[in-house]
Amino acid sequence: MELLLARIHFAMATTFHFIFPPITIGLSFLILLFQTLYLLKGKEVYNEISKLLVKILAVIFVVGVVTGFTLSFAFGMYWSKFSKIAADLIGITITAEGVFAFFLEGVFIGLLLFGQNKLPKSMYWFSALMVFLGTHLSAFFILATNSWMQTPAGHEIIRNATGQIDKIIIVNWFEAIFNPSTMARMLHTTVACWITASLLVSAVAAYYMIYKKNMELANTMFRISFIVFALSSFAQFFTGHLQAMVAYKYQPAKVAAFEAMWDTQRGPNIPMSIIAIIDEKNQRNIINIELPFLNSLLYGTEFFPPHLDLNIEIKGIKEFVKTMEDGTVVKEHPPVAITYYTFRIMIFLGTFFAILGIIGLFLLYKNRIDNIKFLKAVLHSWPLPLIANTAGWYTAEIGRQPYIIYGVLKTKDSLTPNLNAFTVLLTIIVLLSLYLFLSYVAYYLITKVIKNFNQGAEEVPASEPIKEV
Amino acid sequence: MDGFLTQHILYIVMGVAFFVYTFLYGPILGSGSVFPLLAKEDHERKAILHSVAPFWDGAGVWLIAAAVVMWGAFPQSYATLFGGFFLALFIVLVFLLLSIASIELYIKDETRRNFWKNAYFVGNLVPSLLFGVALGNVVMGIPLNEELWYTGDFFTLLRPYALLVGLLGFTILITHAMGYILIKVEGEVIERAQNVLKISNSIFLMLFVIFVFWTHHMFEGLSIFYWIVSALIVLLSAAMFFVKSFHFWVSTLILLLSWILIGLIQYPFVIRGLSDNGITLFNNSSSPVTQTAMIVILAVGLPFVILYTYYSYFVFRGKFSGKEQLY
Repeated sequence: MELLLARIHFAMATTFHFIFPPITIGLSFLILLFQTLYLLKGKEVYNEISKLLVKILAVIFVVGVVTGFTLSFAFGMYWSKFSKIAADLIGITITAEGVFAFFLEGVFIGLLLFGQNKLPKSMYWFSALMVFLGTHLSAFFILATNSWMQTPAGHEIIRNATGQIDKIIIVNWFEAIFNPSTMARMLHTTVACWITASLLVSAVAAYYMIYKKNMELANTMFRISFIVFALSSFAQFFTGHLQAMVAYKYQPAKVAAFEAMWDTQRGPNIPMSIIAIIDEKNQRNIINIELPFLNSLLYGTEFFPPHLDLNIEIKGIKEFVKTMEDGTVVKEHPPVAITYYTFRIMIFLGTFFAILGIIGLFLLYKNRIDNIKFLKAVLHSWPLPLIANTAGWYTAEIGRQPYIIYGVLKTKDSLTPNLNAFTVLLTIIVLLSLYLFLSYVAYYLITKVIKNFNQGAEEVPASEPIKEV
Repeated sequence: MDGFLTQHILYIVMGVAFFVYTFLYGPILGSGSVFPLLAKEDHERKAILHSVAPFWDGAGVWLIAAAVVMWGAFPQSYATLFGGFFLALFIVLVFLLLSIASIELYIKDETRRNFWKNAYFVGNLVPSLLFGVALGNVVMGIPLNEELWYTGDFFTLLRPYALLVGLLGFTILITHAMGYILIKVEGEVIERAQNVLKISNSIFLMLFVIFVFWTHHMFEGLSIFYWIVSALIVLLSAAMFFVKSFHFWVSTLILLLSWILIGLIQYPFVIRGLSDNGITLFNNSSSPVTQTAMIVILAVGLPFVILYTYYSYFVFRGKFSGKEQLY
């Protein structure tokens, strides 16, 4: 019971956290882009756009920090055995994250939010650059930690007399940080953040264009952010493939669940499941619509180094069910249905983004972006990347189960000893209420910022400057 | 580097991080704890919030830094502390989250100003009290089993000595925050802050003397340094009544000396056990590779952190009245 509740707590806490920082990360990139354009071309409109984005960032950032703060407590509170066992790796990555990233974004975000009128143009640009660096480095170190949990490397396992894991010692920290999945995951997640924020910004611009407000600003904002969106959504297929290849090599049980493949298949003609209805209990698919040959092509193609070999093998889920000597059945694979469906949601949405990107680029090229239907589609699409992110995150994390550190430590062995189920339930309820309330306030404030923003009419009453001592 | 050296460096770094957290974030914890007493008008509340708004995040990271150094360098103590003090830390967490949110949202969210005003008050009041209580428990010792996991419950934490340390932390944080307000805020708030400072400092001084003798009674073999540092804190706290404009720096010195004092009492324990066991910096370290890597990271990164933190305080120097346009 405690285990289930602690899992629910962590799922809830990370799901909320995974809404806000991706927007922060993407926005910091776009703000840097517009500030750079402002610095180079000197047009006031770029600065106005960046002002609007900074106002949105100010709200998102606070909620991101709040939800992130929880996690730094949560590892110790709920998963203290994991915290202890994995401390050798986490000591390095999280110290680096704290020193190189948290402080950087923490201090420079203050300058970015409040320094517009106090800093010279170049120094303000530098603050934007540092916030960009801080958020992206932060993503890197936390994803390196997560990647190590997916594909551990550079470590040695120390066991006690009874054969249980006592701790994990890092013998090569470079291999541990740059483990097999770090770079692929970093690329895939960063691009997802850019998609999220650039579509959000495009949606804001589309809103202004539909309601004929701030037209000059909206036009420039739309062009640039939509191009970022389109290019990112194309690039995402490439980074996604890198991720899938890492999973194929190092986490075969996860790939089996991606494809709802119960029996091992070999050869150049393995089909890809488009959509299936899964009967997990009886280890079969009730309905499975497949496209021939595609999985052989997908998992047989490698970019680094370029290599094509269609004659591959994909292990089936049944291979990861082991019967022990005493007759108990141990499942070494993740829950299939949820991994399969979250993976499909991500893929379908990714495909939708690419199609939207192609249409948008075509309209931009033909100079017809005032097409109301298209603008409305963009406007209403803004939450979709958040759903795709969450679905992708679930695929990665649930796909790693039953392990917390893949192949090394199971989730059920990582819990804090003597955890009280009722107390955990209580924390879930309190935290969920607080998060829902904060999300509501954030949504309310951001829509207010967007609705009240008037190009050119900003910051006129600088009533009283801060006095010098 | 050998284990003995890295363990000691990181033990000190952890203490320094806790000190810097109280030094930089103390103004928020303390001013929030007496918020209704300090600020009566909207612009007065704004003045206080403006004076901390550009800095809260950079300051708050020092708590994370301290926790992370504890986690990476002394894993068992992080696991025991966070897993064991579950409920107490959850309460601290929720109120801290409210406090963080209220700083920015009081200014922006006009329809719920009343709520955010109260959130800044209780959001800082509760952690300011509980931080000290947690520290008091760690100093006096907590019940641990053979594998060094906590065996008490929430009410074990409410022992008189721990509550005394809680009040000490509470009063010094308020004193420190009032010193900050005296140099960063202008208007009527100043007079109230001066009054609060006198009261909180008097209580701190009284309780501290009790603390010194109680601690001496509890632990044998405290060195001469214990008495020297204690005497210095008493002197500084007394001097607080006479200084004209250096309150903030006097209280900073008191905070620094207090953390040194805690270190003198605690060494070699990170978390003391009630029976003879305990988590020391020797029996729960991470590997030398990790500890060395951590020290390298800190040595490379921290100079820059100090540099740009200083720069941000330089950019936002001067006093806030609450009437300025901060955004």
